[in-house]
Amino acid sequence: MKMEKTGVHGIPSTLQERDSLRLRVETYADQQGLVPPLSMEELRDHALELAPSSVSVDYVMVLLNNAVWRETVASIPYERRLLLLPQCLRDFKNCPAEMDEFGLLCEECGRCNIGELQSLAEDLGYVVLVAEGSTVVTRLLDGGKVDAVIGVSCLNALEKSFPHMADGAIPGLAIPLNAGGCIDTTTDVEHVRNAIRLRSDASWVNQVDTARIREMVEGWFSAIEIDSMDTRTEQIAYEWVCGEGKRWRPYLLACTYDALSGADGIFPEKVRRLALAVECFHKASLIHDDIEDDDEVRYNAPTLHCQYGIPVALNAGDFLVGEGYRLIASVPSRTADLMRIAVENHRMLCVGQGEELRGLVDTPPFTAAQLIEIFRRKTAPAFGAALRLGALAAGGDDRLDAALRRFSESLGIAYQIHDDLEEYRSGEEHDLRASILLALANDQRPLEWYAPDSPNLDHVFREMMVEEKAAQLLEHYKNEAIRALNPLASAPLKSLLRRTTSKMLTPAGGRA
Amino acid sequence: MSANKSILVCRCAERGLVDTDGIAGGESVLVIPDLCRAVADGDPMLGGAFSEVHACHPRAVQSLFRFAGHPLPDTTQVIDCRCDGAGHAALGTMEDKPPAWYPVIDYDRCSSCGQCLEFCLFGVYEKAPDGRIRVVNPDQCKNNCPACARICPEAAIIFPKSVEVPINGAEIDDEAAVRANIRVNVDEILGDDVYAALRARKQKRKALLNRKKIERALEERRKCSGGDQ
Repeated sequence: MKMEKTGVHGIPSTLQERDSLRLRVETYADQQGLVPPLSMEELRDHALELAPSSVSVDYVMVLLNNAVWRETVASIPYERRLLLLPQCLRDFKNCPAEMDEFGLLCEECGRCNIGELQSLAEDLGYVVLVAEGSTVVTRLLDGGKVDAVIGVSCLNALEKSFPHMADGAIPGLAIPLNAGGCIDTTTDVEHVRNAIRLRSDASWVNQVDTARIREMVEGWFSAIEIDSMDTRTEQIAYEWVCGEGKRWRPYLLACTYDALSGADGIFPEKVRRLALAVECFHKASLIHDDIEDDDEVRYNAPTLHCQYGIPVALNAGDFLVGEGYRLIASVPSRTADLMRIAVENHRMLCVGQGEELRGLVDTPPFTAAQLIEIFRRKTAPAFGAALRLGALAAGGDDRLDAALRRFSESLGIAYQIHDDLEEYRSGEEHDLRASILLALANDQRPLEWYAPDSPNLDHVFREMMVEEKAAQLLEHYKNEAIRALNPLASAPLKSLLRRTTSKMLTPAGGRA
Repeated sequence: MSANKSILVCRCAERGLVDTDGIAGGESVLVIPDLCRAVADGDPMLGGAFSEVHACHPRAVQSLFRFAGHPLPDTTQVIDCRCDGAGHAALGTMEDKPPAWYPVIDYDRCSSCGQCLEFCLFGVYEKAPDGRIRVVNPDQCKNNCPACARICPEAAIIFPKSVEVPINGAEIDDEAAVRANIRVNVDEILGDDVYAALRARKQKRKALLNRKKIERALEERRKCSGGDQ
């Protein structure tokens, strides 16, 4: 049977045309000073500007993405790169190779280009995968396990994997196939060879060594000598601070500083103090939260007021707020600016929390707009303070501060919706009064009452498609957060926050 | 349909995978060039009440009829004439039409997990409002590519024209063996260190390659020494 080889619609048909378009895109990226990672939306907007009418926008998006990442990819050691080749490049009839669960086990028989490209890359130190389909590829790209990717693929498959690349802010170069059809396809082999060999002398660009920073931050807390503190009051408060916790805020603060300063894991004393300060504020708010909500367990252990009683716990919380401000005030440069950010967040958090508490006693339930306003105040400052203090410590300007504030607001709202959705889907929710799902239902048909165990609620939610609406709202705020990152001039920070966004908003149960 | 004996015979014109050459057409025997093609074309003839269908593996035939919207009743006997090319030669694709290569779903096995839907790049599958997975664009399917069937955790996808068992719709005798063959969860195999996993795989590939080379060399030697005698 003779296979027809047809050109792919929207890809320039000659090598010369493809080269000239690529050059034009590279010049454009340079002139515009585009900073990776570009979101899908940014890629599309720029590609629409650039694409000649006969060329598909998708193709130009691929070229543009290559252009912004080229320098970064070149800086990444070969050993940390993954080469992805599609099995459809093989000589379908005569290929002797076997397949395993990942794809083709190429025998380098010379009937197609796969073997040659594979051995070129492996000799340099790459890991290579000749994948059968996009499932394996998307799994590889998710979860931040890959540092850089060079991939040959048809536009259809690229369309599937690109959002995953963007979510993970993975540096990558993609070389589209020129003939599709899944059998006996072709590509610009010389381009693939060049992309594989690409290497610069620059030290790894855009890398934030998150594992090392996490360890370092943990070290700051374990080094605190609680036993040598003067009073039991200080000890109780610091035992709480240094106990269980994800250290999410100090970690984000340190990462932000590192990304902007390029200090590569070396932190001045001021960063340590600011990191401790944000954790003090956070842990103080947890003590007070637990009292307000009458919760008995946190981190699988008794809450502070259950251990020491409400008066002692209240006081420990107050002490930690003071500690936070003391630590910030001890940073000698730009002290007033740092304090302003901390105060702004402290105030906003209290107003948000207060509005929520008020809503829980008053009927009727919240509207979605009211609840989102509460999220904005209550959740956004939590991330915002860490990012903004870290940026300021690294010498960030007002423009960056404004972008980070916008980003934290949208991410905070998205995170809260995500949390509500997860809780609802897992069936663990017991009280929906502060849940966006109830608020969305309330918007459609004002509820006069709400009892936590209303039996008909699931039915009502389904009927009103509340879950779908909440998911849409989540998507909206996620996109707003990503959009807020557009003006960032620092590629490492943009990459870091892009990855943080995906990580925080990944469905827990996701896929098996 | 009133005929008390009505037999449908497929010649598998495209690939010659069945041996039905001995059966001639007649008053109660309807011989069609290619059942897969007829199903893809939505041929109304398929709605006839057949007492016998002489074609492929029964699982494939039943799934094809179901896909065509004319599920076969229990009273229809499906005669397995599959011979995988041992019969007449393939006549090639028909007229100007693309090859009738597409998946059909064995709903006795399908669990509606949707992995095929996620896997396919060309929109062959869709999830119906009732949650079932359906083949909606068979003509978008790429000739000879049974990749979605290979990742199906229930071995529920049939490509009647595949020669791979059980993707071709052959009866599944050894359920355990089939399940063991299904691609295991990629996440688990990859683990946390993708680089280590893929480097280990490279070693496996090299070992396999060496073994094949040795086998080939031994084969050559046998041939040569045989020739000397």
